[in-house]
Amino acid sequence: MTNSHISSSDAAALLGTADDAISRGETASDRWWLGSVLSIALGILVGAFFLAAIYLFPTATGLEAFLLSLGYTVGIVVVTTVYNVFRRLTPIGWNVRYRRGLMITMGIFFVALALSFLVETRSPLLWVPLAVAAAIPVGVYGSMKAER
Amino acid sequence: MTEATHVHPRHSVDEALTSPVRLSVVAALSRVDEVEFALLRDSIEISDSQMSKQISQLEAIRYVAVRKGHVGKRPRTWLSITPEGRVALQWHLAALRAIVDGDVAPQP
Repeated sequence: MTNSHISSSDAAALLGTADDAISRGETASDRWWLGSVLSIALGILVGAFFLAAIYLFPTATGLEAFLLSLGYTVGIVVVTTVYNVFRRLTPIGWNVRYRRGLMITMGIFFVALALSFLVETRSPLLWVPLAVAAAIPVGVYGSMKAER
Repeated sequence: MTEATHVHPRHSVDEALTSPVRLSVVAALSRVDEVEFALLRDSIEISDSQMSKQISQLEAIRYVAVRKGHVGKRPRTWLSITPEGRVALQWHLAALRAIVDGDVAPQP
């Protein structure tokens, strides 16, 4: 739509209105920490589940394996539910950063899990850093703020 | 040699965004991926009915996308700016700056 008759002072007033609204949007975006909490919690859950897969699952009974998986699932559901209940906005670019971090995390998780079938050692010097490496991407990407 | 045609920047102004409330909505949405209706309403300090009316108009011209959801039994409405809305805002702000600066924008 075009052909509006706007004076210089009207234009200046509208620019002021836009700047004010943009800064209000940015101020509201200061609630970005909720996405960070979700991302870090998911990273910790993935890392913990990976360590459970290395150290507990091989010797676990069927019931124990079921309870471990249930605990992991409940953890995911609780974290995402809390996020969805309390979230009131998503900061600009967060969805893309979060998905990227989660993809890298899951990639490392599955590669490390595949490695566990090839390597016999259960030394924490190998598996704990891998668990941390799996946890970090989603936590870091999900906690990053948009560049202005 | 052909003379370049020039047009006053007021012709580049987006009529839909000359309303301060609609401009506020689109400008605020440009800084978030998605925001809850009530939070944006409170943020730009307008009434519920005024907000609904402006959102309907912006949705009709595809500057704003509306997503309805539920958290438990409570309904929630989520708002986001569309790519068209983001482009329109950028052009509109550029036109306003040109008017303020007294520029005459060249017409291709």
